[in-house]
Amino acid sequence: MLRAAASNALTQGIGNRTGLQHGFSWTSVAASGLAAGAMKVANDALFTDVNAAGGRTSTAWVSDNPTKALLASSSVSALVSATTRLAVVGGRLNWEAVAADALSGFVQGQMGRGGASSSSSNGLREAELNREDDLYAQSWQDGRSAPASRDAGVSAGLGKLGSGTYGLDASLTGLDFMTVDPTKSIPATVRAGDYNGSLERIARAQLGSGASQREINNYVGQLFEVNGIGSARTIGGNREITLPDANTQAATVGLGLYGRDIAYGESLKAVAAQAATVSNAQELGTTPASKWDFLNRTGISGALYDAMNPSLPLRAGPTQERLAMYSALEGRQQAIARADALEAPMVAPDDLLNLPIKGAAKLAVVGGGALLGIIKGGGREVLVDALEHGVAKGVAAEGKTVLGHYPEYKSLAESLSARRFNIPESAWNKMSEAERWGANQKFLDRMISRGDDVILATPLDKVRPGSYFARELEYMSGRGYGPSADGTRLILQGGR
Amino acid sequence: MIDLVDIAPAFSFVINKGLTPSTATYDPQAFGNASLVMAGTPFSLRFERDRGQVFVDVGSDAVGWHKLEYVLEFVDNSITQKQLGAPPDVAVLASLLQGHWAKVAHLLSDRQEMSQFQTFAKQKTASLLGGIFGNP
Repeated sequence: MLRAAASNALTQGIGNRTGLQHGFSWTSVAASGLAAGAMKVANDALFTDVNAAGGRTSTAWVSDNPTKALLASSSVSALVSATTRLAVVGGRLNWEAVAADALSGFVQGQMGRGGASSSSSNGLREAELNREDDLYAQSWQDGRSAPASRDAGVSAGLGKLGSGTYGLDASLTGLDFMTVDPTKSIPATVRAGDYNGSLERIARAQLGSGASQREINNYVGQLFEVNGIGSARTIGGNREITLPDANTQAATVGLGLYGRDIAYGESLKAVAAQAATVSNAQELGTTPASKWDFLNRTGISGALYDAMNPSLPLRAGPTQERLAMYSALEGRQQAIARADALEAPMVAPDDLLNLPIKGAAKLAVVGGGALLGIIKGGGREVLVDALEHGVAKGVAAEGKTVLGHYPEYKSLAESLSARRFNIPESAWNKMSEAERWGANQKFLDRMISRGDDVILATPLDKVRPGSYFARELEYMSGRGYGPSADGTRLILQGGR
Repeated sequence: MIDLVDIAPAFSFVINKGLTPSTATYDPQAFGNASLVMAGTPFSLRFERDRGQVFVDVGSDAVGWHKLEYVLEFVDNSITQKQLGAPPDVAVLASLLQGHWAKVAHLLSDRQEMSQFQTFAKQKTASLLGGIFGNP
């Protein structure tokens, strides 16, 4: 958090010196620091438990579902970062950027987990680091300061953001960060996180836009060798990278290692391009043929499917096999889509942000919602799993659900911070009658399984014949519920 | 603001009866739920679209709101719930209200008849809830 704020301040200072940024945004500095803190809080809340020693360890779910956990963690981090910045800096949530961010974090985490010694918790940690790195990269863009050559010297000078300046949690106040001192000399090291962990970015920043590819290649090779790096994909955001100087020998083995770095950059570019393409849901079409064509062109569902099913890669094998696998996937997608219709996952981003839930629960749902931006295909179960994981941990359960007619059910649910069945009009209108009731029914089933307090917003004498509310009451009655004596609740008959 | 034509176009005739749009709500993020009050004399109409189903009440904030289908059944005992549908068919409701406008106006202005209607409405509600929760 401190590191993120400091990095942002540093960045802006350079931006001002180079004339690319006018004025210094303390708000942007705070946003960077707070977003990094919020990401950690969100990921801790969702994916770790407090151990006996008072530290944090990955939950069993994370251990059992490393890929899903990584994807969920990346998504949560991406959206928490974006929404925190939104809260502090303002502006609009760029859903596609969040999606691309989440995918980027996922792919980086996957690559980081590729080593034989990697564990799921290591993967998540790397994903966290990668997310922080992305945040720092975003700081450059937000400050409109290109990561040009670090010909500006810097040193640390302390400033302080007073308590409560942004009306935020006390634990996030008291940030100390750097200010620019132009009198100092060129640093011999740079922080990897400031360049999104990319040695090539460091090289380009140091050599400037006029550098040839040959010069860049050699410089990156030197970075490998000078810093003893075996794989660029495992560089942590905190790592200080020593820069070569005039006395450093030309690169040898480092050039070979650089080949992987190039592949890494290319894969990220491809992911960003895919994420941008998949954001246009219409491209997916409605027929199996059009969807299959879309999958083939973008590889989105295939990539995600393959990541989760390495033993049964969708994009390998003869055509008939692939089609069979696709059919199976399609069936699963339909099932998941129906499940998605249940609660928050189907609602629009703005509605996610306005959900009447708090703290970690909100982060869980909002973060999960980020997945919708990247998964239009076979991965929605990750979202469902992640949300259910959150529910299982007790972070997403409010314990209260409101049933009733519009408009009273909505206002009561909001005032009580209770759950309510909710699907946007755009989705609701596309559902058949059977799908609508199926979604409604599942919402009730989950409410029952959670043991929620069922509050009636509409007096029973105002129930409308044939309405969904009447049907809900009938369904609940069939499961042993009846009205309380005062008619304001549904309770299990015979006591709870 | 949502218009009558958006929520219940079959009721457009009430504009010629002097009813004018009053309060309205519309929530595209929640099923497209909406409400609209067409205010006038001798009564007002309240339209509520709840999860795509449209319901109509007659009355006013001052005297209370009553389900239009119950009112129609009361003023003309030849009208049955089966004829109206459950949920009530908006077009059928509109057509029947148009044909029973004067009777509905009279009911809402006659205290004695309203008392009888309320007893009738309670019976309907008891029957509905009995069907839902089972008769005690």
